[in-house]
Amino acid sequence: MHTFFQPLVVPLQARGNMGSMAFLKGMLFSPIFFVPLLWIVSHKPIVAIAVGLLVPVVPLLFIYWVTLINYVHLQLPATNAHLLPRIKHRLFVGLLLGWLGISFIATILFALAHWLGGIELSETDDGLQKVALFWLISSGLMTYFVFFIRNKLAAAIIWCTFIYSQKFELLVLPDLSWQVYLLCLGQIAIALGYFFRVTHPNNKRVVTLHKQFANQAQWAKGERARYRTPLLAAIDTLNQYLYLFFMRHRINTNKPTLYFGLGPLIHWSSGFPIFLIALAIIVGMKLTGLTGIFATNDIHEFINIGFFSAAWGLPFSIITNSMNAIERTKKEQRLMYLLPNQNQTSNTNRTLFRYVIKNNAISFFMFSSLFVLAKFFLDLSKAEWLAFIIFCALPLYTLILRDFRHSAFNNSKLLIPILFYILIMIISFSAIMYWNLSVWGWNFGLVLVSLILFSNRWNSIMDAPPVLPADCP
Amino acid sequence: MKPPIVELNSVFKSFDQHSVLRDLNWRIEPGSVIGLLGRNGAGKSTLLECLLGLRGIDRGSNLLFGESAQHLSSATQENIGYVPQQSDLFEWFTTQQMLSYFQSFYPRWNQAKVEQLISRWDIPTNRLISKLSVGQKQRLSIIRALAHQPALLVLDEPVASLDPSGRRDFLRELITDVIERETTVIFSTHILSDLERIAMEVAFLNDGRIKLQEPLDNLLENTVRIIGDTASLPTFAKELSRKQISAQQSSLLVQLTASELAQAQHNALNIDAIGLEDLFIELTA
Amino acid sequence: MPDPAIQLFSVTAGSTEPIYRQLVEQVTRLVASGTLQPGQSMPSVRELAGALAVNPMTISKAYSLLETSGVLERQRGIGMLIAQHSNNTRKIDRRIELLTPTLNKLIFEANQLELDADTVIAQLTSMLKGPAQ
Repeated sequence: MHTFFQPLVVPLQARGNMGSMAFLKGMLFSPIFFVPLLWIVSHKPIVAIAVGLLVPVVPLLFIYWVTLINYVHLQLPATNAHLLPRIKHRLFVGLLLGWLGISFIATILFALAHWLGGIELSETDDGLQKVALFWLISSGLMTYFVFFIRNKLAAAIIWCTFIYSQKFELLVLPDLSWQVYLLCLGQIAIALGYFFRVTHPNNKRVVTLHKQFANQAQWAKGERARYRTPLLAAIDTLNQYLYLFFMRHRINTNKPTLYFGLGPLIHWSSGFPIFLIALAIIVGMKLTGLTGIFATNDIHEFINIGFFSAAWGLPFSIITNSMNAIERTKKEQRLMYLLPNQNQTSNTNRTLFRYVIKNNAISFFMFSSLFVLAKFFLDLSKAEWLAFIIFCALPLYTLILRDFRHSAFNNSKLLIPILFYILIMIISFSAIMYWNLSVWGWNFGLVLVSLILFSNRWNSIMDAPPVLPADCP
Repeated sequence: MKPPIVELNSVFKSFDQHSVLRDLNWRIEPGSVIGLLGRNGAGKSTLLECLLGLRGIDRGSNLLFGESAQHLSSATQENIGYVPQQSDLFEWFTTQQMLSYFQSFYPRWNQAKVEQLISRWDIPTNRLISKLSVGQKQRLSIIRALAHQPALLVLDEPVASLDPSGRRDFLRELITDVIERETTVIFSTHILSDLERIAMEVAFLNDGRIKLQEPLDNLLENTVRIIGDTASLPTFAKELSRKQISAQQSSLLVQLTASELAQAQHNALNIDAIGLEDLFIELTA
Repeated sequence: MPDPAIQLFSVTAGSTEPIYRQLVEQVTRLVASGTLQPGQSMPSVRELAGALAVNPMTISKAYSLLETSGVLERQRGIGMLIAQHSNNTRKIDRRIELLTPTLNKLIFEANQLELDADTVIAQLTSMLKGPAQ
């Protein structure tokens, strides 16, 4: 019995140097902060209390599940496949509990969102049906976020198709057609299929798994994948050339303090090919629209949405990737600290920080220009914009879509990004539904949040005094 | 009498409630060549990083060339060379780019020496550092640290990935160039034979403190191991360790003065001279 | 042009004897056996340090000790030479003196093994005289 519960209990154990009891306590006492906030927002005390109390539970449940899954994966290297029987059992239980728990929470959130929005559930006939459906959808989503960490492309395609087929307005479901049901069933089927694939490996599968794990480990360190498909290799090479081109010229201009580089995959020029592709698509779409080559609006919308989510999400992905790169280059920064004549006014090495800000500012403006172009050249409907918003949050998903193996037993490392993510989502939904913030406003809010997160993370990585606000001149 | 190059007083450093350095005191005089010994995980790298100001310390003071290590002046920085344990740094540079980059910071840079070492150690100049072998990367780190002829050279396991001839070559380089110029050298290594050849002093890091710091020759000459009956073993002035090896027998590690040695021999105690490896094991237990 | 005498010297790291002492003993033995002739110049500190990959200060220390004990003498402008009067080291008492530490060790071990003097002497005599016959 004890060994059965152990993997369920272990993730929450904060002991010794494996996690922060203080943070855990903070999490559990966070309702003190959330309840009043939601009260102010919703003017509904019961709602405020209920949601506020629930907020810490969501990430905790998520942690449980993610840690469990990854704890299991830790024991699943190719050579240890024979250990599977034990793991299957735990994984199954973990999956069930996690899925139930998280979808339950999501359902409650959904129902509460209706209250927040002032819509009574009894008003509509199929209110409960909607709730149930939403339960399924959100649980499916959670399945993606964990299981499909290793199969993002499939998840992305399904998600895009979902959006495309529905003109989906999140939380306010007009009519749900049979397509949605089909899709949800498809999700479940895929999740189960994946589950059985993982737990019943054959030799080939074991080798593939091994390669995937190796790649994940490399990416978590901000390095390249060890086993690369030809496409990945081609993108790599393109990035490399662009990056080296810029690097070489910088070295020649002999301004070292400004041009310290990050790894080739993390530099703003790594987003440059995508910028070019996006630009091409914008122009292409405008042309097709003008010439009427593609008649159907559906495809038009699909391309809009799909493209924008990729394009807009990129700068933030770069930011979060930069965090990883910074982590990786910590030692280099330390070495940089010993370099004289850097005209530093503060007592830590800000060279990289300045560069990264520059780097990301360039990325941000590069993609903002795309965004502006799209705004003026393409007409997106409100629904599309809403779907777009969700995709905008995609890059923040990278906060949770990371290799948790390294922090499987360190609660603070797990909880911080998840907490922020949940916070952002709650605030976003409130903004859409209650404050009626404009899309632009909301997006830039996201930018601000990302930057704050980034700055905080940077400080802890550099082991330096905080950037904001004490260091401001 | 010149002021000490390194002065650490009551330094405390911990990571996530795990304390690594505890009330550590260390003084290093200019011109000394000192080896830092300690078990894996004892905190040698951390100590060296704190010494150079690359890591903040929780309590205490860390002075480098008389300045606080957190606020080093450019003049001091020009005089410090550091070879970190990780040689996989700046991997996206080519060898030449990396050296040019570093050269742009240092006013004093011995390009002739750099070229000599590059050709002697056979390091390709136009290849990405990520594509070099581990041994080449490590050698490159060493070149980078030596190029600006620092007054203080800090080496953190600089030759761990080099074969014996590579190590011998590195030692020669240290002897003929670095030590000749009375550079202060602090290095941590597990390769005790190298340490014995080069170091004039050794410091043992154990339990978060510098447990012992002595000139190496003295240590080897005066330290002996004595095994005898627990009951009849006398006490000595400078005992390094005493432990029970069986029900009645104990093993003692002592630094003997001449008179104590004579007396011990007179008492026909079982005395064994001890080598650096055994010393290391005993003192860092 | 490297001094060919450099080939004669070697040190072992990891032994219980400090390197400088190993060198001192080595030089003394080489002089006693006549391999190094009086008036022969020793390699410079720098040369020897580089050849043996040993800190020059250690070499200096060894040379100083050898100078004090009269095995080497310093000549301005030339460096360290084997002392002229180190012919003395060829005298028997001097050579016996060199053997004494080893003999002390022999005695100590004999005591530990509780062997009486006669047994030891007999064994020693047979071993010393045996191969010569």
